[in-house]
Amino acid sequence: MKVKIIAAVGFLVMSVLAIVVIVPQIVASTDICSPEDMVYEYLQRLKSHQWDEAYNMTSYQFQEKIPVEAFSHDLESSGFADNLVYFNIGNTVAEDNEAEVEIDFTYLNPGAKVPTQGSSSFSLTKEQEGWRINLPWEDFLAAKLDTQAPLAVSQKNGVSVSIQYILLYPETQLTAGRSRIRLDIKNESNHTLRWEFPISGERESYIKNLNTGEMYLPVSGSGAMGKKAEAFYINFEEGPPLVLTAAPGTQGSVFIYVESIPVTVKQFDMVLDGFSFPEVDGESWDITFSSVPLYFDVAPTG
Amino acid sequence: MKRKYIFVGFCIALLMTILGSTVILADWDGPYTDIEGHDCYTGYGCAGYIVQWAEWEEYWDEEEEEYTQYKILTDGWGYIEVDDESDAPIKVEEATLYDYNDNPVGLPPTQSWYDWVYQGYWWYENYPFSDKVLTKPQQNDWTSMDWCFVWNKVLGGWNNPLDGMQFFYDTRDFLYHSGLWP
Repeated sequence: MKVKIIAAVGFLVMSVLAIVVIVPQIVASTDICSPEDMVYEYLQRLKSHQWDEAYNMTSYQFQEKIPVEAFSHDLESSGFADNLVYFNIGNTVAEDNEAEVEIDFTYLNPGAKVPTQGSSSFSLTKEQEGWRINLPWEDFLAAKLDTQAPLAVSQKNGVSVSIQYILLYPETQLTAGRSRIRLDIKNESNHTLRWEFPISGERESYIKNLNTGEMYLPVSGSGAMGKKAEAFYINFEEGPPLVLTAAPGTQGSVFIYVESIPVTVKQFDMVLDGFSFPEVDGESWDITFSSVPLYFDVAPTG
Repeated sequence: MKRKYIFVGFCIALLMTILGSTVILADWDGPYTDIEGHDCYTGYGCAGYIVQWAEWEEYWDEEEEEYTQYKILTDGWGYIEVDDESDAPIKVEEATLYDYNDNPVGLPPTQSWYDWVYQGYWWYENYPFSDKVLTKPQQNDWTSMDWCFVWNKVLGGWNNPLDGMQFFYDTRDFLYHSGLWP
Protein backbone atom coordinates (compact mmCIF):
# COMPACT_ATOMS: atom_id res chain seq x y z
CA MET A 1 0.00 0.00 0.00
CA LYS A 2 2.79 2.37 1.00
CA VAL A 3 4.59 1.64 -2.24
CA LYS A 4 1.47 2.34 -4.23
CA ILE A 5 1.03 5.72 -2.53
CA ILE A 6 4.66 6.63 -3.18
CA ALA A 7 4.27 5.59 -6.81
CA ALA A 8 1.09 7.59 -7.18
CA VAL A 9 2.64 10.69 -5.62
CA GLY A 10 5.72 10.24 -7.75
CA PHE A 11 3.62 9.97 -10.89
CA LEU A 12 1.67 13.07 -9.88
CA VAL A 13 4.84 15.05 -9.22
CA MET A 14 6.38 13.96 -12.50
CA SER A 15 3.20 14.88 -14.35
CA VAL A 16 3.12 18.32 -12.81
CA LEU A 17 6.81 18.78 -13.59
CA ALA A 18 6.19 17.72 -17.13
CA ILE A 19 3.39 20.22 -17.50
CA VAL A 20 5.42 23.01 -15.90
CA VAL A 21 8.64 22.37 -17.81
CA ILE A 22 7.75 20.87 -21.18
CA VAL A 23 4.54 22.64 -22.21
CA PRO A 24 5.99 26.17 -22.03
CA GLN A 25 8.84 24.97 -24.22
CA ILE A 26 6.39 23.67 -26.78
CA VAL A 27 4.48 26.95 -26.65
CA ALA A 28 7.70 28.90 -26.93
CA SER A 29 8.84 26.90 -29.90
CA THR A 30 5.66 27.65 -31.83
CA ASP A 31 4.77 31.19 -30.83
CA ILE A 32 8.05 32.89 -30.14
CA CYS A 33 10.12 32.46 -33.28
CA SER A 34 13.72 33.44 -33.54
CA PRO A 35 14.69 36.01 -36.20
CA GLU A 36 16.07 33.17 -38.33
CA ASP A 37 12.80 31.26 -38.07
CA MET A 38 10.85 34.34 -39.06
CA VAL A 39 12.95 34.91 -42.17
CA TYR A 40 12.71 31.24 -43.09
CA GLU A 41 8.94 31.24 -42.70
CA TYR A 42 8.62 34.52 -44.57
CA LEU A 43 10.52 33.22 -47.57
CA GLN A 44 8.63 29.96 -47.55
CA ARG A 45 5.37 31.87 -47.70
CA LEU A 46 6.62 34.00 -50.55
CA LYS A 47 7.71 30.93 -52.46
CA SER A 48 4.21 29.53 -52.16
CA HIS A 49 2.53 32.84 -53.11
CA GLN A 50 0.98 33.27 -49.67
CA TRP A 51 1.17 37.03 -49.92
CA ASP A 52 -1.28 37.83 -47.14
CA GLU A 53 0.45 35.53 -44.70
CA ALA A 54 3.85 36.93 -45.61
CA TYR A 55 2.50 40.47 -45.24
CA ASN A 56 1.29 39.63 -41.72
CA MET A 57 4.88 38.91 -40.77
CA THR A 58 6.06 42.40 -41.68
CA SER A 59 6.56 45.20 -39.16
CA TYR A 60 3.70 47.54 -38.25
CA GLN A 61 5.87 50.41 -39.39
CA PHE A 62 5.93 48.87 -42.85
CA GLN A 63 2.23 48.07 -42.82
CA GLU A 64 1.37 51.66 -41.93
CA LYS A 65 3.03 52.76 -45.15
CA ILE A 66 2.16 49.95 -47.53
CA PRO A 67 -1.23 48.21 -47.77
CA VAL A 68 -1.45 44.49 -48.37
CA GLU A 69 -2.85 45.01 -51.88
CA ALA A 70 0.29 46.84 -52.94
CA PHE A 71 2.53 44.26 -51.30
CA SER A 72 0.77 41.42 -53.14
CA HIS A 73 0.69 43.28 -56.45
CA ASP A 74 4.39 44.04 -56.26
CA LEU A 75 5.46 40.49 -55.51
CA GLU A 76 3.07 38.91 -57.95
CA SER A 77 4.20 41.10 -60.82
CA SER A 78 7.89 40.73 -60.04
CA GLY A 79 7.82 36.98 -60.62
CA PHE A 80 9.99 36.68 -57.55
CA ALA A 81 8.44 33.60 -56.07
CA ASP A 82 8.72 31.51 -59.18
CA ASN A 83 12.39 32.16 -59.70
CA LEU A 84 13.80 31.74 -56.22
CA VAL A 85 15.24 28.24 -56.26
CA TYR A 86 16.94 27.92 -52.94
CA PHE A 87 17.86 29.95 -49.91
CA ASN A 88 19.90 29.33 -46.83
CA ILE A 89 19.83 31.23 -43.57
CA GLY A 90 23.26 32.57 -42.63
CA ASN A 91 24.60 34.61 -39.75
CA THR A 92 22.34 36.54 -37.44
CA VAL A 93 23.22 39.58 -35.43
CA ALA A 94 20.55 40.29 -32.81
CA GLU A 95 20.39 42.97 -30.19
CA ASP A 96 17.53 43.91 -27.89
CA ASN A 97 14.90 44.86 -30.44
CA GLU A 98 16.80 44.73 -33.70
CA ALA A 99 18.17 41.83 -35.70
CA GLU A 100 19.89 41.31 -39.00
CA VAL A 101 19.63 37.94 -40.66
CA GLU A 102 21.88 37.12 -43.58
CA ILE A 103 20.81 34.79 -46.32
CA ASP A 104 22.38 33.15 -49.33
CA PHE A 105 20.14 32.44 -52.24
CA THR A 106 20.06 30.84 -55.64
CA TYR A 107 17.97 32.50 -58.27
CA LEU A 108 17.23 30.96 -61.63
CA ASN A 109 16.67 33.43 -64.40
CA PRO A 110 14.14 32.09 -66.82
CA GLY A 111 15.97 30.91 -69.90
CA ALA A 112 19.31 30.87 -68.12
CA LYS A 113 21.25 27.64 -67.83
CA VAL A 114 23.17 28.55 -64.71
CA PRO A 115 21.42 29.91 -61.62
CA THR A 116 22.51 33.19 -60.12
CA GLN A 117 23.84 33.07 -56.61
CA GLY A 118 23.73 35.95 -54.20
CA SER A 119 23.55 36.97 -50.61
CA SER A 120 21.61 39.60 -48.78
CA SER A 121 20.12 40.33 -45.40
CA PHE A 122 16.83 41.02 -43.70
CA SER A 123 16.28 43.55 -41.00
CA LEU A 124 13.88 42.62 -38.19
CA THR A 125 12.39 44.54 -35.32
CA LYS A 126 10.92 43.09 -32.15
CA GLU A 127 7.38 44.21 -31.59
CA GLN A 128 4.88 43.30 -28.89
CA GLU A 129 4.33 39.69 -29.85
CA GLY A 130 7.69 38.91 -31.39
CA TRP A 131 10.00 39.52 -34.33
CA ARG A 132 8.75 41.05 -37.55
CA ILE A 133 10.35 41.61 -40.94
CA ASN A 134 11.11 45.25 -41.46
CA LEU A 135 11.03 45.76 -45.22
CA PRO A 136 12.06 49.02 -46.91
CA TRP A 137 8.69 50.61 -47.69
CA GLU A 138 10.27 52.70 -50.42
CA ASP A 139 10.58 49.60 -52.58
CA PHE A 140 6.83 49.14 -52.53
CA LEU A 141 5.77 52.74 -53.01
CA ALA A 142 5.42 52.36 -56.76
CA ALA A 143 3.08 49.40 -56.32
CA LYS A 144 1.08 51.33 -53.74
CA LEU A 145 0.57 54.26 -56.07
CA ASP A 146 -0.25 51.90 -58.93
CA THR A 147 -2.95 50.08 -57.02
CA GLN A 148 -4.60 52.85 -55.06
CA ALA A 149 -7.85 54.47 -56.21
CA PRO A 150 -7.30 57.66 -58.23
CA LEU A 151 -7.66 60.98 -56.43
CA ALA A 152 -10.20 62.17 -58.97
CA VAL A 153 -11.62 61.45 -62.41
CA SER A 154 -12.94 63.98 -64.93
CA GLN A 155 -14.46 63.46 -68.36
CA LYS A 156 -15.10 65.70 -71.31
CA ASN A 157 -15.81 65.06 -75.00
CA GLY A 158 -15.32 61.34 -74.49
CA VAL A 159 -11.91 61.78 -72.92
CA SER A 160 -11.39 60.54 -69.39
CA VAL A 161 -8.54 61.83 -67.24
CA SER A 162 -7.84 60.54 -63.77
CA ILE A 163 -5.32 61.84 -61.29
CA GLN A 164 -3.70 58.61 -60.16
CA TYR A 165 -1.39 60.22 -57.63
CA ILE A 166 0.49 63.29 -56.57
CA LEU A 167 3.92 62.65 -55.20
CA LEU A 168 5.91 65.32 -53.45
CA TYR A 169 9.62 65.58 -54.07
CA PRO A 170 11.15 67.43 -51.17
CA GLU A 171 13.64 70.17 -51.79
CA THR A 172 17.24 69.06 -51.52
CA GLN A 173 20.57 70.80 -51.72
CA LEU A 174 20.73 70.18 -55.42
CA THR A 175 17.16 70.28 -56.59
CA ALA A 176 14.12 72.38 -55.98
CA GLY A 177 11.05 70.80 -54.48
CA ARG A 178 8.31 69.83 -56.91
CA SER A 179 5.26 67.64 -57.20
CA ARG A 180 5.00 64.78 -59.64
CA ILE A 181 1.52 64.06 -60.95
CA ARG A 182 0.49 60.97 -62.84
CA LEU A 183 -2.53 61.40 -65.08
CA ASP A 184 -4.15 58.39 -66.69
CA ILE A 185 -5.76 59.38 -69.98
CA LYS A 186 -8.31 57.31 -71.84
CA ASN A 187 -9.63 58.34 -75.24
CA GLU A 188 -13.13 56.90 -75.53
CA SER A 189 -14.17 59.29 -78.29
CA ASN A 190 -14.27 58.51 -82.00
CA HIS A 191 -11.51 61.00 -82.79
CA THR A 192 -7.77 61.07 -82.43
CA LEU A 193 -6.87 63.11 -79.37
CA ARG A 194 -4.05 65.60 -79.22
CA TRP A 195 -2.79 67.00 -75.93
CA GLU A 196 -0.03 69.54 -75.50
CA PHE A 197 1.89 69.07 -72.29
CA PRO A 198 1.86 72.07 -69.98
CA ILE A 199 4.71 74.51 -70.46
CA SER A 200 6.81 75.47 -67.47
CA GLY A 201 5.61 78.65 -65.81
CA GLU A 202 2.54 79.16 -67.96
CA ARG A 203 -0.83 79.56 -66.33
CA GLU A 204 -3.08 77.69 -68.72
CA SER A 205 -2.73 74.55 -66.64
CA TYR A 206 -2.43 74.75 -62.88
CA ILE A 207 -3.37 73.46 -59.46
CA LYS A 208 -5.11 75.85 -57.13
CA ASN A 209 -5.29 75.68 -53.36
CA LEU A 210 -8.98 76.00 -52.57
CA ASN A 211 -8.41 77.64 -49.20
CA THR A 212 -5.93 80.32 -50.15
CA GLY A 213 -6.35 80.62 -53.91
CA GLU A 214 -2.64 80.10 -54.37
CA MET A 215 -1.68 78.51 -57.69
CA TYR A 216 1.00 75.94 -58.38
CA LEU A 217 2.23 76.13 -61.96
CA PRO A 218 3.86 73.58 -64.21
CA VAL A 219 7.63 73.20 -63.99
CA SER A 220 10.01 71.39 -66.31
CA GLY A 221 10.01 67.64 -66.58
CA SER A 222 7.47 65.30 -68.07
CA GLY A 223 6.94 61.76 -69.13
CA ALA A 224 4.55 59.20 -70.50
CA MET A 225 3.89 55.51 -70.44
CA GLY A 226 1.73 53.37 -72.69
CA LYS A 227 1.25 49.99 -74.26
CA LYS A 228 3.60 49.22 -77.12
CA ALA A 229 0.74 47.82 -79.16
CA GLU A 230 -1.43 50.94 -78.96
CA ALA A 231 -1.37 54.22 -80.85
CA PHE A 232 -0.90 56.24 -77.68
CA TYR A 233 2.42 58.02 -78.05
CA ILE A 234 4.41 61.19 -77.87
CA ASN A 235 7.08 62.35 -80.26
CA PHE A 236 9.66 63.00 -77.61
CA GLU A 237 12.28 64.28 -80.03
CA GLU A 238 10.18 67.33 -80.74
CA GLY A 239 9.00 70.14 -78.57
CA PRO A 240 8.55 71.75 -76.18
CA PRO A 241 5.72 71.48 -75.81
CA LEU A 242 5.60 67.72 -76.05
CA VAL A 243 2.50 66.50 -77.82
CA LEU A 244 0.55 63.40 -76.92
CA THR A 245 -1.40 61.65 -79.65
CA ALA A 246 -4.00 59.09 -78.63
CA ALA A 247 -6.05 57.16 -81.16
CA PRO A 248 -9.68 56.30 -80.35
CA GLY A 249 -9.90 53.50 -77.81
CA THR A 250 -6.35 53.91 -76.47
CA GLN A 251 -5.14 54.80 -73.03
CA GLY A 252 -1.94 55.48 -71.15
CA SER A 253 -0.30 57.61 -68.49
CA VAL A 254 1.47 60.92 -68.54
CA PHE A 255 3.62 62.51 -65.88
CA ILE A 256 3.82 66.21 -65.28
CA TYR A 257 5.39 68.30 -62.58
CA VAL A 258 4.09 71.35 -60.81
CA GLU A 259 5.65 73.57 -58.20
CA SER A 260 5.96 72.07 -54.77
CA ILE A 261 2.54 71.79 -53.15
CA PRO A 262 2.71 72.46 -49.39
CA VAL A 263 1.59 69.66 -47.09
CA THR A 264 -1.01 72.01 -45.64
CA VAL A 265 -3.08 71.91 -48.83
CA LYS A 266 -6.06 69.63 -48.25
CA GLN A 267 -8.23 70.37 -51.25
CA PHE A 268 -7.51 71.67 -54.71
CA ASP A 269 -8.90 72.52 -58.13
CA MET A 270 -6.99 71.54 -61.22
CA VAL A 271 -7.17 72.74 -64.79
CA LEU A 272 -5.46 70.94 -67.67
CA ASP A 273 -5.48 72.88 -70.90
CA GLY A 274 -4.45 71.93 -74.41
CA PHE A 275 -6.74 69.06 -75.44
CA SER A 276 -8.02 69.01 -79.00
CA PHE A 277 -9.35 66.84 -81.85
CA PRO A 278 -7.26 67.98 -84.85
CA GLU A 279 -9.39 66.10 -87.37
CA VAL A 280 -12.57 67.83 -86.13
CA ASP A 281 -11.89 71.50 -85.55
CA GLY A 282 -8.54 71.64 -83.76
CA GLU A 283 -9.97 73.91 -81.10
CA SER A 284 -8.33 73.58 -77.74
CA TRP A 285 -10.34 72.74 -74.65
CA ASP A 286 -9.55 71.95 -71.06
CA ILE A 287 -10.41 69.35 -68.47
CA THR A 288 -11.10 70.54 -64.95
CA PHE A 289 -11.18 68.94 -61.54
CA SER A 290 -13.03 70.60 -58.68
CA SER A 291 -12.65 70.26 -54.93
CA VAL A 292 -10.32 67.28 -55.03
CA PRO A 293 -9.24 66.10 -51.59
CA LEU A 294 -5.48 65.91 -51.56
CA TYR A 295 -3.67 62.93 -50.12
CA PHE A 296 -0.14 62.63 -51.27
CA ASP A 297 2.96 60.68 -50.52
CA VAL A 298 6.42 62.04 -50.14
CA ALA A 299 9.05 60.51 -52.37
CA PRO A 300 11.85 58.75 -50.59
CA THR A 301 14.97 60.87 -50.43
CA GLY A 302 17.38 58.00 -50.44
CA MET B 1 46.92 88.65 -115.25
CA LYS B 2 43.27 89.01 -114.55
CA ARG B 3 42.98 85.23 -114.33
CA LYS B 4 45.84 85.20 -111.85
CA TYR B 5 43.97 87.61 -109.54
CA ILE B 6 40.83 85.55 -109.86
CA PHE B 7 42.79 82.42 -109.00
CA VAL B 8 44.44 84.08 -105.96
CA GLY B 9 41.05 85.41 -104.85
CA PHE B 10 39.58 81.99 -105.22
CA CYS B 11 42.38 80.49 -103.14
CA ILE B 12 41.96 83.10 -100.44
CA ALA B 13 38.21 82.50 -100.38
CA LEU B 14 38.81 78.77 -100.17
CA LEU B 15 41.32 79.26 -97.37
CA MET B 16 38.91 81.52 -95.47
CA THR B 17 36.17 78.96 -95.86
CA ILE B 18 38.37 76.18 -94.50
CA LEU B 19 39.58 78.36 -91.66
CA GLY B 20 36.06 79.46 -90.88
CA SER B 21 34.83 75.89 -90.82
CA THR B 22 37.67 74.92 -88.57
CA VAL B 23 36.82 77.68 -86.16
CA ILE B 24 33.21 76.64 -86.13
CA LEU B 25 34.15 73.02 -85.63
CA ALA B 26 36.57 73.91 -82.89
CA ASP B 27 33.95 76.02 -81.24
CA TRP B 28 31.74 72.98 -81.03
CA ASP B 29 33.18 71.47 -77.91
CA GLY B 30 29.85 70.15 -76.72
CA PRO B 31 30.85 67.36 -74.46
CA TYR B 32 27.81 65.23 -74.51
CA THR B 33 26.73 61.74 -73.96
CA ASP B 34 24.67 60.01 -76.52
CA ILE B 35 23.74 56.52 -75.67
CA GLU B 36 22.33 54.70 -78.59
CA GLY B 37 19.46 52.33 -78.37
CA HIS B 38 20.29 48.92 -77.10
CA ASP B 39 18.60 45.69 -76.47
CA CYS B 40 18.95 44.95 -72.82
CA TYR B 41 18.76 41.62 -71.17
CA THR B 42 19.27 41.70 -67.49
CA GLY B 43 20.76 39.17 -65.22
CA TYR B 44 17.34 38.93 -63.65
CA GLY B 45 15.33 37.90 -66.63
CA CYS B 46 14.08 41.30 -67.74
CA ALA B 47 14.22 42.13 -71.37
CA GLY B 48 13.72 45.36 -73.18
CA TYR B 49 15.13 48.18 -75.21
CA ILE B 50 16.57 51.37 -73.89
CA VAL B 51 17.66 54.73 -75.19
CA GLN B 52 19.09 57.52 -73.16
CA TRP B 53 20.21 60.93 -74.14
CA ALA B 54 21.80 63.72 -72.16
CA GLU B 55 23.96 66.72 -72.80
CA TRP B 56 26.87 67.83 -70.74
CA GLU B 57 29.11 70.79 -70.40
CA GLU B 58 32.29 71.32 -68.49
CA TYR B 59 32.13 73.22 -65.29
CA TRP B 60 34.80 75.74 -64.44
CA ASP B 61 35.92 75.40 -60.87
CA GLU B 62 36.79 78.88 -59.66
CA GLU B 63 38.93 77.70 -56.78
CA GLU B 64 40.87 75.06 -58.65
CA GLU B 65 41.00 77.27 -61.70
CA GLU B 66 40.43 74.36 -64.01
CA TYR B 67 37.68 72.26 -65.43
CA THR B 68 37.07 69.73 -62.76
CA GLN B 69 33.46 68.79 -63.07
CA TYR B 70 30.63 68.32 -65.47
CA LYS B 71 27.19 69.71 -65.46
CA ILE B 72 24.22 67.97 -66.98
CA LEU B 73 22.18 70.29 -69.10
CA THR B 74 18.45 70.33 -69.02
CA ASP B 75 16.20 68.19 -71.12
CA GLY B 76 17.96 64.89 -71.08
CA TRP B 77 15.58 62.06 -71.59
CA GLY B 78 15.27 58.33 -71.31
CA TYR B 79 13.10 55.84 -73.11
CA ILE B 80 12.57 52.19 -72.41
CA GLU B 81 10.45 49.40 -73.76
CA VAL B 82 9.83 46.22 -71.84
CA ASP B 83 9.29 43.13 -73.93
CA ASP B 84 6.02 41.26 -73.69
CA GLU B 85 7.88 38.15 -72.70
CA SER B 86 10.09 39.84 -70.13
CA ASP B 87 9.91 37.90 -66.91
CA ALA B 88 9.60 40.91 -64.68
CA PRO B 89 8.71 44.58 -64.85
CA ILE B 90 11.45 47.17 -64.70
CA LYS B 91 11.76 50.18 -62.51
CA VAL B 92 13.39 53.22 -63.90
CA GLU B 93 15.47 55.59 -61.89
CA GLU B 94 17.01 58.91 -62.46
CA ALA B 95 20.41 58.79 -64.07
CA THR B 96 23.20 58.07 -61.72
CA LEU B 97 26.85 58.25 -62.53
CA TYR B 98 29.15 55.53 -61.28
CA ASP B 99 32.88 55.51 -60.94
CA TYR B 100 35.27 52.64 -61.48
CA ASN B 101 34.49 51.17 -58.11
CA ASP B 102 30.74 51.27 -58.71
CA ASN B 103 30.34 54.08 -56.23
CA PRO B 104 27.68 56.56 -57.22
CA VAL B 105 29.15 59.97 -57.74
CA GLY B 106 27.59 63.35 -58.28
CA LEU B 107 23.90 62.77 -58.20
CA PRO B 108 22.55 61.77 -54.84
CA PRO B 109 19.83 59.15 -54.96
CA THR B 110 17.20 61.78 -54.38
CA GLN B 111 14.18 62.11 -56.57
CA SER B 112 15.06 58.75 -57.94
CA TRP B 113 11.71 57.12 -57.64
CA TYR B 114 9.59 56.37 -60.64
CA ASP B 115 6.85 53.97 -61.67
CA TRP B 116 7.22 50.40 -62.70
CA VAL B 117 7.27 49.71 -66.41
CA TYR B 118 5.37 46.52 -67.02
CA GLN B 119 5.70 43.93 -69.72
CA GLY B 120 4.48 45.19 -73.07
CA TYR B 121 4.74 48.88 -72.07
CA TRP B 122 6.99 51.72 -73.06
CA TRP B 123 8.09 54.54 -70.84
CA TYR B 124 9.55 57.96 -71.51
CA GLU B 125 10.75 60.59 -69.10
CA ASN B 126 12.25 63.97 -69.66
CA TYR B 127 14.71 64.72 -66.87
CA PRO B 128 14.50 68.18 -65.53
CA PHE B 129 18.18 68.27 -64.83
CA SER B 130 19.55 71.63 -64.04
CA ASP B 131 22.31 73.04 -61.93
CA LYS B 132 23.55 69.60 -61.20
CA VAL B 133 27.26 69.18 -61.20
CA LEU B 134 28.93 65.83 -61.51
CA THR B 135 32.36 64.81 -60.48
CA LYS B 136 34.76 64.51 -63.35
CA PRO B 137 35.58 60.95 -64.39
CA GLN B 138 38.76 59.60 -62.94
CA GLN B 139 41.88 60.67 -64.79
CA ASN B 140 39.69 62.11 -67.49
CA ASP B 141 38.90 58.60 -68.64
CA TRP B 142 35.44 58.60 -70.14
CA THR B 143 35.06 54.87 -69.64
CA SER B 144 34.78 55.52 -65.94
CA MET B 145 31.55 57.37 -66.63
CA ASP B 146 28.82 54.87 -66.35
CA TRP B 147 25.18 55.70 -66.60
CA CYS B 148 22.80 53.63 -64.61
CA PHE B 149 19.17 54.43 -64.44
CA VAL B 150 17.39 51.19 -64.45
CA TRP B 151 17.10 48.68 -61.76
CA ASN B 152 15.11 45.58 -61.39
CA LYS B 153 12.85 44.88 -58.53
CA VAL B 154 12.93 41.13 -58.45
CA LEU B 155 15.13 40.93 -55.39
CA GLY B 156 14.32 44.39 -54.21
CA GLY B 157 12.66 43.22 -51.06
CA TRP B 158 15.95 42.36 -49.59
CA ASN B 159 18.57 44.08 -51.61
CA ASN B 160 19.77 47.60 -51.58
CA PRO B 161 18.23 49.00 -54.76
CA LEU B 162 21.64 49.91 -56.03
CA ASP B 163 22.53 46.23 -56.09
CA GLY B 164 20.01 45.84 -58.86
CA MET B 165 22.19 47.68 -61.33
CA GLN B 166 23.16 44.48 -63.06
CA PHE B 167 20.71 45.58 -65.70
CA PHE B 168 23.27 48.01 -66.84
CA TYR B 169 26.36 46.00 -66.18
CA ASP B 170 25.63 44.31 -69.45
CA THR B 171 25.49 47.57 -71.27
CA ARG B 172 28.76 49.19 -70.35
CA ASP B 173 29.90 48.97 -73.90
CA PHE B 174 27.56 51.74 -74.83
CA LEU B 175 29.22 54.05 -77.26
CA TYR B 176 29.81 57.49 -75.86
CA HIS B 177 30.26 60.26 -78.36
CA SER B 178 32.11 63.11 -76.90
CA GLY B 179 33.74 66.28 -77.95
CA LEU B 180 36.25 65.83 -75.18
CA TRP B 181 37.26 62.25 -75.72
CA PRO B 182 37.77 61.09 -79.26
